[in-house]
Amino acid sequence: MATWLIYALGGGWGHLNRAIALGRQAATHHQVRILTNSPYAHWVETQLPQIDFSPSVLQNLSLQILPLASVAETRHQVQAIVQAQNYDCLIVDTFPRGLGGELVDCFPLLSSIPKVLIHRDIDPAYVQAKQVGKFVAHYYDTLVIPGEGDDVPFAYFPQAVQTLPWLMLNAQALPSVSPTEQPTIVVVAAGNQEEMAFWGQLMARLLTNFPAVTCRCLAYTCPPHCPPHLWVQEWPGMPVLNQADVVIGGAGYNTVFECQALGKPLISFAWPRQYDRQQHRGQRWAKLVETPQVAIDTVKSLLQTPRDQRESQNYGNGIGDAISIIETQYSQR
Amino acid sequence: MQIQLVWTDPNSGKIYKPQLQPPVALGRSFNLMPGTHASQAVSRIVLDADTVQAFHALLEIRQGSVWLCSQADSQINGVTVTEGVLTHGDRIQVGPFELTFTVVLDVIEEEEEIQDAVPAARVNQGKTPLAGLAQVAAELPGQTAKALGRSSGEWVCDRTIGFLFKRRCDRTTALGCPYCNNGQSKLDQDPYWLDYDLYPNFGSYRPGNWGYEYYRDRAYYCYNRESRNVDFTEADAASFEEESDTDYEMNFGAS
Repeated sequence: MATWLIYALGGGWGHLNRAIALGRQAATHHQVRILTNSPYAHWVETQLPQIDFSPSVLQNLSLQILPLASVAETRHQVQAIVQAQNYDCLIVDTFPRGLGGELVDCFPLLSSIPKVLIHRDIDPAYVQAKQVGKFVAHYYDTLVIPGEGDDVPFAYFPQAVQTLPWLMLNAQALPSVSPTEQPTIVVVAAGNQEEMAFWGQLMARLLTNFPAVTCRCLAYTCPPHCPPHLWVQEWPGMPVLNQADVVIGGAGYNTVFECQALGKPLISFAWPRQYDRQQHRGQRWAKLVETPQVAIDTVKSLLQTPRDQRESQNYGNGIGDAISIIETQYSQR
Repeated sequence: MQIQLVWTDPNSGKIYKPQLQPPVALGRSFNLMPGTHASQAVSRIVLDADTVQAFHALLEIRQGSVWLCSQADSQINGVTVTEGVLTHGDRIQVGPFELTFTVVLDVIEEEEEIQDAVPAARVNQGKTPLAGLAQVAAELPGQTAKALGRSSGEWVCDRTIGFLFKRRCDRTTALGCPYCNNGQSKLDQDPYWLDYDLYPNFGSYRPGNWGYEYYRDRAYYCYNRESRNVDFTEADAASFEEESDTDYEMNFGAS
């Protein structure tokens, strides 16, 4: 049984979700440690037993949650963990050099450890400023591109391999959709305080504009101005999204590809992020809007089309292929 | 060749940034420093401290490079020297004074920008000795700010930042500054203090120490503005970067 260390540092949900999606399936045959500093990690850890994880998976899968600390201290902690080399394969999500550049000093010491980059889209300005491509070409054995195809900076590197998007749940694991008389709008609310306030106000406007529609807000905390009885705190979120006729959210990786897999129309507000190009992703995979009014008009238009309450479409999940690709990295050595 | 020396007076806390034409004398006594050297007028900088000699050191040009020739204990980047060549960004230690040495590039362009500061700049160009610099230097930060396109009198951060190549921050606002955490960190809080543990004998550049080769090869670490590439450690690369570049990799909460 090999040990995988997944580097999934980053605020928000994306890195943590992607790492757990990979880790929970890999943990049937491997020890998987996920290194995270997500503010949601402690709560997610308590939710792990409530989804369909078998006892052996739970035993093999662990979250190594970094305490809140200064940038220098976090760098130091990550370097100590990575340099310990008590794992067989290092899998780095999104940030090849580490989110704080801290892997740069470690990698020359890790020549015997296979290194895999999970290559989600990343801002080319950052790639240019830090010469990230050169570093990736030199140190990474494999780049796995989960779902975004050729539209990412290192897609044409010789070690790049593409898979379908990575999803937390396979189609067979999704609960059945309960037929409803009223259509359902699900707002996926995440982000900073300002963004949460925006989602709360949007919920209020949706309630006014669509009194005959069921509105729900999927969020870790109830946004300001959102009636608490409409707030759903559930992880993973795919079963909730699966109940929706229309989803409104940001254009982060998970929201976009979960909606795509489930066949749900996604109305997206592209939030500015330092590394993630939500605008870029949203243009390709969602209906991008800029104002609440345009979002409401788009919802109106979507709700005028006949409802489709069939069982979920049978979507693919790139996790299985990714595990096979990663396994070959150290088995060939 | 025009150079700039930047230091903070440990007695008054004032920052000085004169631009000078070598030769430049450093010492405690204005009158005991030479007024001329090799038929050239000498700019004399008074560094008022007991551990600074009356005439402590001379900066002069030899074969196109600026050399420090010291009459007493001086250090370049922490290494005690009697003489040594200076390169852009070097730190000169004279008594309690740490002076940062830089070569002023594109003098013509800068002169166009600092028309308002011409009288002071002319004083510093060597034809007239820099008499009583300590008395007039309080005006210099404003002049420098103007030279950099800033309004006169603007606040300039004098925090020491960087990792191996320490440098003055020189920002005009603490807003968004990763080093002082938007002005919240105290001056003695170094964001790299934990990193020093990773490098044995950090700051020592003698043979056999970790920093030796970096110091020896320091002239080669040129920042390529086009490629934005510096083949060096992270924090030191930051010494060469444009301000917008340093915003990356400073926030572990980013996504």
